[in-house]
Formats: sequence, structure tokens, C-alpha cells
Amino acid sequence: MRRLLRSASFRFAAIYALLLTISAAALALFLWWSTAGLLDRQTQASIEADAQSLSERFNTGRIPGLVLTIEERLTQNVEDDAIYLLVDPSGQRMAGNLQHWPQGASRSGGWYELPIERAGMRSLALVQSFDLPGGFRLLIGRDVQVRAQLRRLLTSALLWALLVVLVMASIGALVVRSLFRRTLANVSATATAIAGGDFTQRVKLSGRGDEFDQLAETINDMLDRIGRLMEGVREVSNAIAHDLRTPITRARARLEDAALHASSVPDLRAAIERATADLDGIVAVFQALLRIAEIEAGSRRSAFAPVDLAPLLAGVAELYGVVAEDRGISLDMEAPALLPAYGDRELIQQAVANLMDNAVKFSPPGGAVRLSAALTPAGVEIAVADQGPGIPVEERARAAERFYRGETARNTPGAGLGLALVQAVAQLHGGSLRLTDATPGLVAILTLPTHDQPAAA
Amino acid sequence: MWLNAAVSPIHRTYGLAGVVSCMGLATLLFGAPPVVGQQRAQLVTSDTPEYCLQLLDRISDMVRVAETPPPEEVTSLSSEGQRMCDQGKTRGGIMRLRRALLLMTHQGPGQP
Amino acid sequence: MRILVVEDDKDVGGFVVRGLKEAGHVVEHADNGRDGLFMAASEAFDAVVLDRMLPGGIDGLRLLETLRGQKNTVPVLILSALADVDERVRGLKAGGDDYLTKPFAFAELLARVEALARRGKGEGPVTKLVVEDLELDLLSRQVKRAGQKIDLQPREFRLLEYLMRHAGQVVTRTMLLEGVWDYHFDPQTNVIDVHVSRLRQKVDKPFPGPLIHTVRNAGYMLRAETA
Repeated sequence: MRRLLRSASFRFAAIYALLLTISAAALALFLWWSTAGLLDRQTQASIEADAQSLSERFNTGRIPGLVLTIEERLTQNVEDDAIYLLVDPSGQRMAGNLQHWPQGASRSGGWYELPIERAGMRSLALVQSFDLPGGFRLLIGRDVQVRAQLRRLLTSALLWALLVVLVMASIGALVVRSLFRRTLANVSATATAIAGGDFTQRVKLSGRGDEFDQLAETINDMLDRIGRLMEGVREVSNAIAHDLRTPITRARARLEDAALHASSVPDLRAAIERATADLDGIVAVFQALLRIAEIEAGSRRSAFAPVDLAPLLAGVAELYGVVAEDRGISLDMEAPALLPAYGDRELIQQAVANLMDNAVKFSPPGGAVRLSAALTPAGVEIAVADQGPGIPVEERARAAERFYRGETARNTPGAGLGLALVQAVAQLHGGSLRLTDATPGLVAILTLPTHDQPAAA
Repeated sequence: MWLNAAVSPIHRTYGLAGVVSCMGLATLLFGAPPVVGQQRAQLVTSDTPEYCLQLLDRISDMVRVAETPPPEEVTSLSSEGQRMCDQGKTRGGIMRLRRALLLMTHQGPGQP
Repeated sequence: MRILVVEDDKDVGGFVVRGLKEAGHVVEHADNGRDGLFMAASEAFDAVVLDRMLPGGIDGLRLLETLRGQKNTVPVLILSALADVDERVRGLKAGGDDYLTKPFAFAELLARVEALARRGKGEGPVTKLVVEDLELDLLSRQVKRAGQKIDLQPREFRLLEYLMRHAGQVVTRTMLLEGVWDYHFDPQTNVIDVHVSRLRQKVDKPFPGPLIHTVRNAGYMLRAETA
């Protein structure tokens, strides 16, 4: 039973049934009020009007006048529904068509229902009791047998109707429940298939464009993204397996070589130091990979804040400026005084530094590296241009892949992760990385949206 | 109020409607005026043959003091009423006699 | 200096303790959280090296939070295999003063621990840094050596300031990147080396007796030749 209560489709159906029943009850109440209720109100109004005029008569004619008026009213009562009774302080009847004061009708102004007998038939009267000065008591009423019958009839009819409504509501609830379940079945079937390992499944859309379709689309988008992430993980695993074997093998070979051939303690020490350096290099590659994975997973988006890129770029330029100078490369920087952007300061720093690193690394002596930035409709555009060998058009699409090292980069140090990180940072911020020709050389353009621009993730 | 915190607006509206309906139904079933005089159903004295005679006397009195003869309807109604009272259909008879009396009263003395 | 090392891994722990002892420090070692907390709370140390993952029910961060809750302000260097930024922030928020990820170079650990302990002594605000005949005036932003004025770019000034504040201690490239340039990543090329060499040109070369020394496999140190 508890399990049934927890079922959402059951709750939905139950709510539907409840709403229907409440609506029906409200309707029934209104119907009753406007029919039987109206009749009751009319009777009461009539009695009250009667009471009003009788009280005026009492004011002018006192008890004798009242007695006459009551008898007059009775003779004129063509509808044959009036009930009157006037008794003196001792309870003796003075006027009216009842025999004695009914027991229990004690409150002045109070309403009572009185069973009466009319020419051998049982009937019902609605009466109001009044206390008059001097201890006299007056009862004014109407025969409401017809109305009471109608009320009983209507009440029982409405209650039966309510029962019918309950049955209909239950049936309707079952229908709603099955509709609900059918719509959900589609989603849950897909989810089960995916959980079972078939990742190509997607939720079917009904084509109506309604909320369920929107939900299905969102789920499908999420599944696509998971698919991409999983693909990325596979890529990385393959890349690691493939590309890291080399430095690991090298480190191992060196150690083995030292173990077999080193002849002195300084030799051994040197071999150990080189191996340590190799291991550090491998760790650095792992760190970079993890960093890229962390960025791609998007978890750092929550730490985004407004950041002014102008001082950030100046800092990077200053850091690499000295290195460039050392190698005889000139470093130029051009940027506006204010570059508002929205994102993770550290990541942007690292991305720009990576681009600068590449530019300085690949520039020939005497060459020039240029860092420029501008505010465009697309966002903040940061461009790093060098005069090195550049990247051929065919290779540009793959340049930002992990571990990709172009032909021209064969003899330079590095694991090929620099651009992959920049790409990941760009995507995280909803921006982009473009590589174009500087003939000679390469221009890497990193675009980051500004604060008010929505991130097109 | 705790109700505001625990329940969403939609639920609240319908919950209130439900409660009101239930209260309404309750008054419908149980909210009648109290029944009194249960010992014995009271006889209504204006349904008796004695009342019939009372009304007939009044009609006769009125006819006697009238200047013009009573309209035909009055006569037919009174005789019909009297006959019904004699046959035991007192309520029907009394109703006709009352109507006859009303016609006589409205006609007024000296009115054709 | 008195240093407490709380590390459960036998090899790493032994390695660190041995290294610190060889550097001339008095070292205590705890291999679980409970003992570590007890020792840190009951004795006075100049610095604590704390591993995050500890057995015994009390892990590194809880130990740290408890210590700080006891108003114990001993400088703490957190060691952790968890390298991502969120974990770094968590460690520092729990009360840590510095965060070093594994694997680490011992020289880095030593440099950072000594820097922490020195900081913990609380030197108070200074207006002038002096090492031998090198003077750095923080108010007027002027540098003089042997009475001669040296012209420095703003960043070179900050680099020299950092080295002088840590005079006599090893300063690693990572520490310089963080302390002078506020960078929290490792650039591939040896940018720091180039900057230091530039600084040396201005501060050491024209004068007898170099002050800025390279420490192999570690970083740099600024000290008087005779020390």
C-alpha cells in the first residue's frame, strides 16, 4: 500500500479524482442552495414578513387586535399553509390553528420544525416563536411538507449523484494514471536501455512540442553530452596509453642502463637525478591532462566572476617579455585599458600563458610576437601572433587535440597539451579558439564572451 | 501560518474549496432547525369540519348584509365547498370556502 | 626548528623526517590523525607538515579544524594527492597556510616549511630589507647596493623583495610564480629562470660577491656569500 502511495502516477490520478469530486460537491452544493435552499429562504421570508405586519398590528390593537387579525388571516389563507398560535401566560390558546404550545419551543425568535396532522395526514411546519409583553407567546409558521419532501428528494439525489461521481472519478483516475504512465514509459525505457549499456538510445519525441517533448529533448541533449564526455575519456585513455609510454619507457631504460653499466657513485647519482626529472615530466603531463579533464567537465563554471583582462594580459606579457628578449624576439602588446569579461581568472591566465609560451617557443630569433586584444560584438578577442613555422591548414583542425604535435614541432620540447588546454578553457567559457595564418607564422585567436553575453555552451 | 509554508498555492486553493464544500454538505445534511413537539403531532384546527362550518357562517353573514346578490362564483364555490366538507374532503372544501370568502370580501358591499 | 610531520605512508614519512633532520631541524613524527592531534595540541611546534589522508578516524582536515578550533595558530603545510582547485581551497579554508601536492620535490617541501615557520614568528611590518650591502627600501621603492642606486622595473623590484623576505631560505620557482606573479600553474618554459637571471645582471654582476644563488633541483636563495 505504501508503495502505491509513493507512485507518482497514482498520486496524479488520485489528485484528479479528488479535484473532480470536490468540483462535483461544490456544484451539488450550489444546486441545492439555489433550489431547496431557495424554497427554505422563501418560506422564512414569508414568515418574517408576517411577523413584521403582525407586530405592527399588535402595536395598534394589542392582544384583541392580534386575535382578530390572526383569525382574519386564517380565513383568507387560500394557500392553506399558514400556522398561527397565540397563547396567554398560562398557556391557554387564544387564537390560531394549533391546539397547544409545542414543547421545547422556548426561545423567542427561534426557528423550529413542528410535526403536524392535517385532516388525518402527517405534515411538517416551520415555525418561529415570539415572546410578547405580558407573558403572551406567538407562533407564526408555514406548512413546509412539500418543501421538506423536495429537500429530502434533492438531498438523496445529490448524494447518489456524488456516489456516481466518485465512481466516475475512480475510472477517470485510472485513465489518467495509464496516460501518465504511458508517457513516462518512453523515457524510462530509454533510460533502462542506456543503463544497460546501449548508449545510442535516445528518448523518442511525440512531435507535439509539448512539455514532455521538451523534457525528452533536454534528456537527449544530456545524453549527447555524456556520450561526448565518455568519448573524450576514451580518447584520453588511448592517448595516455600511447603517448606516455614513451617517456616512461625512456625513464625505465635509463634506470636499467644505470643499474647495469654505471661504474661510480656520481654516475649512479646522475642517472637517478635524470630519472627523477623524467618522472616529474610525466607527472606534469598527468597534471595537465587532469586539468583539461576538469575544465571540460565544467565543474569550474560555478566559480565564474567578472574579471578585467587588461591587467591579466599585461601580467602575462610582462612574464614572457623577458624570455622573449632573452631569445632576441620582440614582444609587442596592444590592448585597451579596460577589458571586462566573465569567467575563471586562473584558467584564462593559463590559457593566455600557453599561447604566449607557444609563440615564444616557436619564434625564430629576430622574430616578433604580438599580443593584442579588442572588445568586439562577439566578446573579448585575444590574439597572439608569432612569426614561426605556423601550422599548415590541413593540421589546424587537429592542432588542439590532446598530445597532437605537428610536423614542425617535432624538435621542440612539450607534450602537445598546450592548445588542448586553451581549447578546453575557451569552450568552458562559451568562447572559441581559432588558428589562422600570419604568413609567416600563426595567429591564435581566443574569444571570450563578456559579462552580459550568454555563454553558448 | 503553517499551511502557507507546507503547501503550494494551487494545492491551497483546492484544499480550501474542498473544506468549504464539505462544510456545506454537512449543513445540508445536518443543519435543519430543531424538531419540537415530538410527543404527538399537533392537530391543525383549521382543517376540521368545525372550521368548515365556521367559514360557511361567515359567508352567509356576508351574503345577508350585502346589497347586491352574490356573484355566481361565490355561490358555486360555497356549495361545492360545503359538499366536499360533508363528504370528508375537508381541506379541499375549506380551500373553496376561503376563496368564496375572499371574492365576497373583495367585491365589497354595494359593488356589482 | 621544531617540526611535526603527520604522515601515514612509511616511505614518504620516513623520507620527509630524514630530510628535515638532515636540514638541521628537530622533527617529531605521527602516523595517524589521533596521535598527530595530540602531539600538535600538547607541544609547541614551529611548523606542521600534515597529510590529508590519515587513518585512525581523524583525517587531516578534521585535525586541522580541531587545532584551529583550539585557537592553535601553528603554521601548517598540507600535503595531498588531491590537486584540483576545489580541494586546495578546502584545505586552505580549513585553516591550512600552504598546500603542496604529491608527488613533490623534497627541496620544495623544505623551502615552503621553512618559509612558513619563519612567517609564523611574526616579524611585524618592516620598511627596509637589508642583506649584507644590499638595501631595499619599501617606502621609497629604491634599491641600493654598496651605496649605489640600482634601477629596477616594478616586477624586478617585487622579485627581489620576495627573495629578500625569504633571505637564507630556498625559494622554489613555483613559490616565485605564486608569490610574485600570482600564477597557480606551471608554465612549460623556464620563465622564472630568465627573470632571475635578468635580476642578477642588475644586482649581482656589477658587484663583487653574488647574493642570488641557484640551489640545484630546488630553486634560488638569496644570502650573503659567507653564510
